[in-house]
Amino acid sequence: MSIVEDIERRRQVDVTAIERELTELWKAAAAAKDGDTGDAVTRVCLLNLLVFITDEARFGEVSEVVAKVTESAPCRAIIMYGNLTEPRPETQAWIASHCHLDDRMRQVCCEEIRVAASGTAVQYLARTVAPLIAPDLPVFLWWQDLKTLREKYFHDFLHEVDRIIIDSRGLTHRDAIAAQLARFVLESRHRAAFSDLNWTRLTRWRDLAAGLFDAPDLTHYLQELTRVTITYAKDDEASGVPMQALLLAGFFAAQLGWTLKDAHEINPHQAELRFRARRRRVVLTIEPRAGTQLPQKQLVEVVLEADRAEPASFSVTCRPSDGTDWLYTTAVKITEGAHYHTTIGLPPLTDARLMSREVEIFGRSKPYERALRMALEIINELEIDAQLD
Amino acid sequence: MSGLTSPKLGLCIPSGKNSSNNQRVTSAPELARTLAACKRIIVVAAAFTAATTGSTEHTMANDLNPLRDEARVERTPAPCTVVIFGASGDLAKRKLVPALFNLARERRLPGGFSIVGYSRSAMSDDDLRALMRDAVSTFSSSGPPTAAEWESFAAGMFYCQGGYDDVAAYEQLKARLAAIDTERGTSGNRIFYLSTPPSLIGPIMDTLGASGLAQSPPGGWTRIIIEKPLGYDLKTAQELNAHVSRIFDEDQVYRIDHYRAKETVQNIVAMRFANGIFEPVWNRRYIDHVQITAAEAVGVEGRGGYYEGSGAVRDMLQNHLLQLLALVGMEPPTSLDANAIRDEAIKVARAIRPIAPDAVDAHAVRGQYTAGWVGGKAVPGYREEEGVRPTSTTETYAAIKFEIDNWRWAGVPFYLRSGKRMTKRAAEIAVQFRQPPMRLFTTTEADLHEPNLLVMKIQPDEGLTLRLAAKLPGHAIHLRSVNMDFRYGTSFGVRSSEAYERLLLDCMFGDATLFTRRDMVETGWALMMPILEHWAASGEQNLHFYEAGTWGPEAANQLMGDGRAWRRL
Repeated sequence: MSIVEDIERRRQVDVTAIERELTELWKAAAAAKDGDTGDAVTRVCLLNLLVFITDEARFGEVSEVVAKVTESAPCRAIIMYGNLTEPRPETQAWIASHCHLDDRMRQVCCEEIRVAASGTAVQYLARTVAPLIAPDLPVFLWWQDLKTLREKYFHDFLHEVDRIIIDSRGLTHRDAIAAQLARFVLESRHRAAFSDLNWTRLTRWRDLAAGLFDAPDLTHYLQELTRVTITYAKDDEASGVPMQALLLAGFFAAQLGWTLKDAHEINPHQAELRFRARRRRVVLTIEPRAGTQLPQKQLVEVVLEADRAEPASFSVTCRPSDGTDWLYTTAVKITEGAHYHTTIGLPPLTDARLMSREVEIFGRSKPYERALRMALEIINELEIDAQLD
Repeated sequence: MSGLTSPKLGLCIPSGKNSSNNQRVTSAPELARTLAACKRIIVVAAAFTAATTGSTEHTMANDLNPLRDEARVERTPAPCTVVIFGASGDLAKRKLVPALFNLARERRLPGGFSIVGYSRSAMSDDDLRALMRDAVSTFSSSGPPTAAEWESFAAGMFYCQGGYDDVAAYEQLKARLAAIDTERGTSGNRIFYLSTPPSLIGPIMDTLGASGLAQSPPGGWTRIIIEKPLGYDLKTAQELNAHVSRIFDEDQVYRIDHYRAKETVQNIVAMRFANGIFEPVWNRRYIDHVQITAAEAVGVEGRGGYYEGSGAVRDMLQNHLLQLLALVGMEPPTSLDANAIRDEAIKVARAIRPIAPDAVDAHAVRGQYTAGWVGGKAVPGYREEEGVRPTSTTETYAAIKFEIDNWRWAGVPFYLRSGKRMTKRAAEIAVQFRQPPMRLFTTTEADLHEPNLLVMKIQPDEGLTLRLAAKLPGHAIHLRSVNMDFRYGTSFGVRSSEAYERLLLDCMFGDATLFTRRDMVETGWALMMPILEHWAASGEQNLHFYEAGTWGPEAANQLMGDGRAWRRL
């Protein structure tokens, strides 16, 4: 499966005639395939995926992501480019198709519509795109520009979509926008649910960490943890604790019912957080590690320790392998008991892989919102700490 | 600061036949620890809330592990050891270990998960690991393992050699399992997988019982998985079940029916009970008849000796096709609990009208393939296959018409058919609806207008098709049947779990929904016995021969009657 190809070159069309042009495109595709092999193409659509970009150069990159997403989630993709620097109001559109062969070697095709707007036309993007949304199917909006979340043209989309996907990957606690973004998501009262690709990147970590405590005789350690260390790949340039690590810290704290007592920066890349849990304290450290060969800000290791009656250590570690996968090792060490580890290889978390996962999910994620709320609390506390210093 | 705002109350049903006392558990760690000592836990209420912001209010989801509090984080079962009897055999190499490896790769297995292979062959742990590495490299549907993946998976793989009735060898197995429990934290949780010929099931179970391995150890659970054939007839099936129940509780026993684990088969329940549009028409008022087909293009594939003692009814209809009938015909279950679904399935199976010995020929047709062409190649007839008697009367094709005596299905025939060396490989359930009460459209012979049909395809293309009538474009009104198609492979471009992956994981979770219960096995046999006995007494008299590569004997078409016909797949 998954041989992706364009069955027709991308072509520019009149914005008002996109549906008609799409019908023609599919007729032509079907006719071409009938002539070549006798096999008709199958046009499939399970959802609408809208993507907003503000960098025209990203059209191609996003298109590739969309093509990969369609392999597991056939969709109508609408990629919108808002040219905020060009004052002349104009809207242009192109259509193309993404096809791949399914496991029975049949052509499965989805359509991609590109819309480029400039000047005041950007303000009306939602109105331009709304008629193009395939009816009765879920609508996902991947908004790639975090700086424009307060703009009206973004808000106009909130009535049209079911789920808004953002990505806080590049942010650290020192970026003012990190706290703004968290507040915006948490305070949103719209029907649309928010989702963060950075949270989706954590799914593996949450999954593997949870797996360490699934055994009934290990679950009680979750109520006995006293130290947690989250390590991330060091970013040489930016300073600050990455949002991904903050979200994981927030997740542990929120799910395990810890209350934040204080937080301080040990240095610009490292923070120590102190929580109160029932009848004990928990110290959570977020620290960088250099030379991991993993992408910057990517988590490298999580260690959860209990040092009470029966000391125990639980860890999840990620490292690159000789092949294309990343190797994740989970380990359990009970001082007086079991001692074992498991390693699995998983493919790197590309945007395409994350988006494919993301469009499987509808509705709000309570754990994400709880983790984000706690992350915001941590950011605020770190800010106060920095001001006191 | 977080605290308990509602008491946690657990009802623990301790393991063992004679246990009946319930315990009240009052804290999370206590409840977690108690879980280890319980066979089943019904958590009545378990809620943690945070007293401060209200933001951290949540429930202790997924068996008390709050880190599992979201659907996208997959649950894993408690650590356990799978003991494979017949570890050097084909099934272990082709299906079981590759399925377990795929589960490990997909993060569905717990840390500390272990495998113990057991067979008569002399082998070391490392020999077994090398054997299984080759097997996984060849048969894993997710591709060969990397060095690191295999090192981690193989670290939990061990081997024990011994006879299947050798108590001393089982004592060694027991000691090995205890050591694994300590080293790998498997807590005494064990699955015994009997991947052996049927003749060894009895000796293995007896020796497991004699060595004390059949009992769930303190704090752990013991389950046993048995492969088909589950008996040769009603008497032997009852004997087998009685044998099993002398050693194991019924809830320890998992009888594999890999058909049930197929995606479309599971989807039957979802389609029927998650969509409001079907239930109102799912009855005798709207449905004309149901056809259930499992056709194979292959012959006996060198297993003529085995097939001689089996035949199409024992191999397919008594178990797989009857299960499908039950899923299509059952009433809505009260929950998705294993026994709730199986209770409804057995009710409909029991409502099937038994076929009287003198009515067998009117309700059942058997056939045997002769030489022919399949897939562009000449193939031999059944009697020319290796291991088959030249005078064999074993049926390679069987078609049966059943009627269900209940309010929903009275008067709606269910046709079941299965055969080898048929035109192509296909398995499906076709629900044919009645014609509209009034023929509003005058159709001509040129119109291909057939009644509505809902087809649930099981293989090779899993999916659903609904046939509707539509008007052909043009001035005149001509109708044509058109299909609305849903294909799993196309709509969901993700790999479905292999049946064995799903079944092994379900067994680890203690979910028996997709496994066959004792009463279903015996009911299936009871329905088939008059047919099998009649055919056994008839010699060649009602054995219809069909050419390999066709859809079976002509006599099967006469079975349908009333203007109905088998579907051309």
